[in-house]
Amino acid sequence: MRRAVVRTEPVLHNRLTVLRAERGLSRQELADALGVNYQTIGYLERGEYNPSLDLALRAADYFGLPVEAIFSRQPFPLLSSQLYPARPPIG
Amino acid sequence: MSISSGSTRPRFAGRAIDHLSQRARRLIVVVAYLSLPEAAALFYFHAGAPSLPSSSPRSWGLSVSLLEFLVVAQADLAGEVLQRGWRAAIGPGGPDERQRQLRDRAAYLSYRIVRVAAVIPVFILFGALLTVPLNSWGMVTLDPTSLFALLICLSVLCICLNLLPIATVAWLEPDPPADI
Repeated sequence: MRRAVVRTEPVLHNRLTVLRAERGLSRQELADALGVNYQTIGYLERGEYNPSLDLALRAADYFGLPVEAIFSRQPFPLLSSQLYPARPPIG
Repeated sequence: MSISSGSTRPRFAGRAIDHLSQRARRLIVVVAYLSLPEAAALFYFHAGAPSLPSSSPRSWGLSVSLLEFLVVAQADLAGEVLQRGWRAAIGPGGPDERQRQLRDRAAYLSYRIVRVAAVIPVFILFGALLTVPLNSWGMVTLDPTSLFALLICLSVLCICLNLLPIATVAWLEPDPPADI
């Protein structure tokens, strides 16, 4: 059984996995684009490593999104619920 | 939609050493640092050999010298494996920010370990100085071979101290995330 990683720093939520999936990128390709090791992308996606401001901005530049669209201190809402918000009950 | 991993997995057994699991790395760290008590034990075996009944000092000395060589080789080999794993992890481009952070943390922890363990060399030095009066009382024989054993002991200690930051990295670095 894998032990839980002990965190001493606040968790930073991110959408890297979703953004990478949307663009069909491998970890290695994203790592090359951001100038980091491919393992670091994995740690970022799992929330086991918080990026520096420089790396967060590089990721924002690469995906063409504001940095707060990729990283957040609060958990991101599901994309499906944002795309298809719950319909109000009829009647 | 599928996500390709693009990870650099070892393709043949020779490169497996570059991608050891955290458990294997920790085992190697333990093996490396076992050489310290082994070297210390050999030193005292060496120094106390002539007092043992029915032992030939010459054959005893030769066998202990061989064991000392093996202890140095054990520390050195384990260190080389850990160094190679770290070099493979950082790749040709040098360490990225996470690896630099890990390296700095390891250096800090190493410093703390050394600070606590600084008493060990002091005890070894104290023990070496103590052998002089013990020698005069006939309890321990201090001869050139015993000094050689002490030198081996200290050289193993130096190897282990030099290895400490990289061993700490090997100990701390978790296994890479599973590919999706």
